[in-house]
Amino acid sequence: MTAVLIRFSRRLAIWEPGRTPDEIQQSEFRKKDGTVDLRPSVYEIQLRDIVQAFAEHATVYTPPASTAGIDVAGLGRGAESTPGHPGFAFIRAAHRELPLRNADDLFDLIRKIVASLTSRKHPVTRAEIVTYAAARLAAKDEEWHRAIMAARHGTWVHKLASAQGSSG
Amino acid sequence: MTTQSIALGWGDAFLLGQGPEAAALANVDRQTLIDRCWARAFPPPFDELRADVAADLTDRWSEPCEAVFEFLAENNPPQLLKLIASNRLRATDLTFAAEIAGRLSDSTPVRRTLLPLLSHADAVVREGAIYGLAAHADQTVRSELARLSASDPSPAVRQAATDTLADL
Repeated sequence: MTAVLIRFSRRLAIWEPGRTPDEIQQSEFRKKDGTVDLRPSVYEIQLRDIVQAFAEHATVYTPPASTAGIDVAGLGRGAESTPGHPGFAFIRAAHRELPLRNADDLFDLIRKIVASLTSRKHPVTRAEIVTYAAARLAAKDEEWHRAIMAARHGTWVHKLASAQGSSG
Repeated sequence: MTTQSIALGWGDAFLLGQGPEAAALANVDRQTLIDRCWARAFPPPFDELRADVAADLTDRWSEPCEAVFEFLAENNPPQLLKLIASNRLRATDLTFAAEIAGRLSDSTPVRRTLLPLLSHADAVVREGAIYGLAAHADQTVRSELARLSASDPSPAVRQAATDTLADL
């Protein structure tokens, strides 16, 4: 099976029809300080592992919203291996960055993604990641238990652990 | 050998000096700084904010971005809500400002500011407002989420509302 390079979307609505490349860049490829992200993070995974990747990636977010994994493979950009989330070996090993030359290069990438979006967009639902996380907690997965300890209080993983009676 | 910088506040004895003249001079300096803030012209949308806050932001960032919203959430929540309510942020900024406003502890002003955004024309903004309201849900918010879940024209917004309701 061929690996995909998945960029998890920050806003589902930004991938709906009618969006401009500018809007997509502002929502999906911008650093916290407002500058253009010329090294966007992606995960090099098999598509069958997308739920695991997003569930682990999303442990720091709340609420656990559904997302779209956007596959950016095969668009002429090489991915560089860089350390990912320290808490999970799987996404730590799968983490990559996509080095882009400049903003024009990024906009070219966005246009190519949009041109073949239907085949590149892979939805992951909240229900899928919650089910996955619940199974890992039930299996006493050490990485997940450590993630709960590290997560901010009140996040979805805390609630899930409490519901299962395994937070302590 | 390294030099350690020392942060001084207006009330520091060193800055104020030991005598009444030194204290008077320090107060003149302070008033001059405040007057300069008020006299400065700030780029939109920072010109919506109190002059000292706008000066603080403009010195750090050139445009609205997540770092700005997080800074305001941490240091001046009412000004973050004012910026959101000003209706002068781009949709791709407003969506993240709304989500970050969800971290504030006082639910009443958060709901007052974010509830109108659930009817915003741009689906990206409605999606961000849903995430922002997730931690502040009262009966009104639940009703609005149920409405969006059932009938919003954007599949992304319907999904976000459904996810959030499931997490409440």
